[in-house]
Amino acid sequence: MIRQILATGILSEYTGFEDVRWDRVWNATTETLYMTGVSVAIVFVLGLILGLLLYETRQHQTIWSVALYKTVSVLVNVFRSIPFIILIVLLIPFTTAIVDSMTGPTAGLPALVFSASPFYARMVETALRDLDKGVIEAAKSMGASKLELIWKVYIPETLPSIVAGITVTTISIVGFTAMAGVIGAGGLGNLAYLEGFQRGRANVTLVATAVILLIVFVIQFIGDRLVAYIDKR
Amino acid sequence: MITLKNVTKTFLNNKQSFEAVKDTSLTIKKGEIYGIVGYSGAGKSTLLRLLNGLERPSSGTIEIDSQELSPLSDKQLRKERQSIGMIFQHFNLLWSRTVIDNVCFPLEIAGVSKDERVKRARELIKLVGLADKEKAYPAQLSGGEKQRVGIARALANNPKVLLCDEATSALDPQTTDEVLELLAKINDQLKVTIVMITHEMEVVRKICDRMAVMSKGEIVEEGPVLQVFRDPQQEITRRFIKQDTEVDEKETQLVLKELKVAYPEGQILRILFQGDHVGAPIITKVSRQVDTDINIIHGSIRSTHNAPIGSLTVQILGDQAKQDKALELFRTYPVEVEVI
Repeated sequence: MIRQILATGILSEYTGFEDVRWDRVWNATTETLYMTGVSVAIVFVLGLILGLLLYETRQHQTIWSVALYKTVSVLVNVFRSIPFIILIVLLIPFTTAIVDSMTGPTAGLPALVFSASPFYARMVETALRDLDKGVIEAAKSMGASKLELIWKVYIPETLPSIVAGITVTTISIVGFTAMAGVIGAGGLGNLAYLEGFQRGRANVTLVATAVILLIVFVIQFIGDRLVAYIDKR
Repeated sequence: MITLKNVTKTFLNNKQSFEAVKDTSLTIKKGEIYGIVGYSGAGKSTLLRLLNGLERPSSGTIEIDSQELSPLSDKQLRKERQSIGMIFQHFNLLWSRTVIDNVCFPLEIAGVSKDERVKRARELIKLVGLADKEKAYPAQLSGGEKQRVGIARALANNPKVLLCDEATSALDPQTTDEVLELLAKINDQLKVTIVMITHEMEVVRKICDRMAVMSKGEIVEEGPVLQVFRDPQQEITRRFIKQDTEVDEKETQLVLKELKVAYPEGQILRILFQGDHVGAPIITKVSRQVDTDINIIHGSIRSTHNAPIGSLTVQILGDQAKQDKALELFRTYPVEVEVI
């Protein structure tokens, strides 16, 4: 078997990096980082707001908050459930309308944000629900307003979960950017698909894979360190 | 200082209404330590939360320092709460903040400037005896230390009232005593009115001036601690007092049984002394006057915030006439006598 593989030169397709166009790899890497970075920034803010909204409206019994909770909840569940590759295609008209150009890394952003924000919002909501009710009561007994509660209690007290959540979300966004390459959004996924697969150059695919792995490891490392640093429990 | 008039609080739960506090009226004086005892579910937590407006009464009025709470808007109520400190059974500190930042927290809410905050927080941390732990996080502190931080935090805005929600229930006996001492010191030095709810009679006995017993949403008994201890009116109050003395009680009962067998003719009395009379040589006086032997079975003395309470279980020996005379004599002294 191994001999056969060696004989047909399958393995040699993965080795030998002399003909890899490193400038293209670098380009693709910056595109991936750009898509990830911008969408994570938006997802973080949007997810946090949605998560807080879900948490706040869940507890109250008024008709408005119940309606709001149900609406947000359904939207979150729907967008979280649509497979990413379908969501991209589904959002093409929307994307064209707002980013004007259908190609390039920016075109990948709407789909990434729509897909990851609900995911992250649920994480934030879960983190908030785990928050000690006694601490909230203590802050209320000191006369804290809703806004003070959010800034001084909700967010600081759930920060390790919020950071751990955004780490996981970022990693899945990196994965999503690879798929976004299909609609011409660029990035390492695009490189692996166009140069690696369609031109039959497995070594390029391997390089793209290695770079993506490296990015994921670095994100995980930074995330873990950050959580360890802020968690004083 | 604090006046409750016909306060009722009804909760709606799954369309069933539940009266947590029923038609309760109460007056707590300025500067006193007031204890409310009751089993869990008696409504004492709700009562405490009515005092700082975390719960609003379904009917009735609550007045704190001649400020009625019910007409206040949410915003005014939040402002009012800054002058009412609260400490909790599980401390409820922010784990993400250091000791000093936890104490600064209510000051931030009150809008105190940074320099002022730190200055005030340092004073308080010193007052509760944690000067060397200023930069520690709650996770690094023991239960007693956490409660001290809780107390410092509750005092940050110079409150008129300090509410204690089972503040010592999660602490061991030694730490409980330390925290109670600290509360008594604060009451004495800062003249803060303290309202505490607890299920431990011991806590009330040790530091409260007056007390109330709560059962099923109602206050069933109320008065100065000494009086309630000396002369409880309700069965539930007796049970609470008994719980406080239980350790000795079992042993005493055993000895009593044996003595009744050994001296079937003797009469057993329980004598309760209070305050100044703890030191009076009543037993020997009676014994001499009646010329009979008095056998001391059990004696104990417990401190309360105001004065000690002593209890003595004795057996009067001799014939019936002498026993009756001794009993009569005991009743002439300012003590409570109970024939067992």
